[in-house]
Amino acid sequence: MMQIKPIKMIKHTVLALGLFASVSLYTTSVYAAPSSNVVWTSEMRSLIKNADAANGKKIVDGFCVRCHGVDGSDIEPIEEEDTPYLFGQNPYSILKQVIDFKDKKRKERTMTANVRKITTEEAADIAVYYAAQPLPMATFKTSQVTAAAKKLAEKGDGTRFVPPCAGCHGQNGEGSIVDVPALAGQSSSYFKLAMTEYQDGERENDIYSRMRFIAKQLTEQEINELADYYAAIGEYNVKMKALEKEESDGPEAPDKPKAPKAPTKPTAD
Amino acid sequence: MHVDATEKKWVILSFAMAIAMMGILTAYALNKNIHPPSNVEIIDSTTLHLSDEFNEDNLGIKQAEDGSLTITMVAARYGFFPHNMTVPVDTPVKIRIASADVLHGIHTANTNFNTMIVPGYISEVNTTFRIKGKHPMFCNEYCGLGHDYMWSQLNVVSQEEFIASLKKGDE
Repeated sequence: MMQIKPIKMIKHTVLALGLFASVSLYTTSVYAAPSSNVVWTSEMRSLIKNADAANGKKIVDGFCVRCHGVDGSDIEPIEEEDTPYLFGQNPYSILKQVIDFKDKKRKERTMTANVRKITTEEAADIAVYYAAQPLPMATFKTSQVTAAAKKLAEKGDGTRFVPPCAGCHGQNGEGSIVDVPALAGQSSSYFKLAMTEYQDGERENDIYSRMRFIAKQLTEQEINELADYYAAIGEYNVKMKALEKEESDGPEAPDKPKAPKAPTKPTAD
Repeated sequence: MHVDATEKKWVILSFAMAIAMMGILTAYALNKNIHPPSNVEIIDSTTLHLSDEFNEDNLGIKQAEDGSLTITMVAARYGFFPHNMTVPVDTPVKIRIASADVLHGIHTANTNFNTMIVPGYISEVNTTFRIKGKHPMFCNEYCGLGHDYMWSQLNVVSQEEFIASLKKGDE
């Protein structure tokens, strides 16, 4: 008959009990509420599809412009901006954020108070109005964008499980289905604020901690450089506006440069 | 019907190759314990984050009623959640994984953990990880622009290290 050494038996028993106790302790962690209650059912999507942009404009003109500005940008000086540019934004993204503010899944004193005054349908109207506007002007020069930021945005960093920003936010920063926000031309100071809030866990309405995880992998310098990168992408709008002005002012110049391709706005069908 | 002798040889060779390949695949599958998943369980992918089992705070490793370990994971563009998993070596583990958006696949190098993750279904795999070390987990079904970057890490450790990692996580 095989003899079992007492010391080995005790060691195995202790290990087994330790494993059981540790796992039990681990699994009894407190259940927290989901990051967001938003679910993109066909009913929710139809809010955007059936939204009234004209009504959205009325609400924006009388309400949202106080902070988000008449051109969808912040009314504060660039370096003090803490509200996002909303022109050209993915409408599903705007609607999700408003619902998250309403549900207190995203906490910001001013917005939490303001969104109580509007219905979800009105939020969809606002979202569609903003989405129909051109992306914001660039606030940073493309020539000053670092190669590291471009690489991070386009290639990511597999060693840190950081996927490229373009994978979700679009190759031109135009946003993507369903509610991934556009980043092109976004205020760099707001970009930094949002990423810092994800890093610190102050903002936690990203389902499955996607952005919290990514933000925690990035250094402050990388966030700053990415902010400048996306602020610079809006520069193509400057060119677009210049071209439009040329077209409206007079006949087409013989050596007129070709208009840059505008990013396709995301649609969720 | 007349069949040319050369053609007959090629027909026999073709059939023989097909049978040989089926034999190799069967032997390999039996030897490595590779088999299609038998569990069929449906779930609404759009409300996955609101469900009890696949809620963000319930992901990770848990102990089932029978004492075995269960890993609950979510695949969503472009990552597996949680990103880092630590499991004990030579211990039976049940892995339950669901997709929050589109079709994904998961393959863990150096193990027999390889399954498709179909939206609307829960994929369940029972396995035992035999090789200690850090094993990459890849998405092996094209799922979008970030597919190339959809990977996570499985860390197979000794039972002592596993207990220590859980205690560290609780602090």
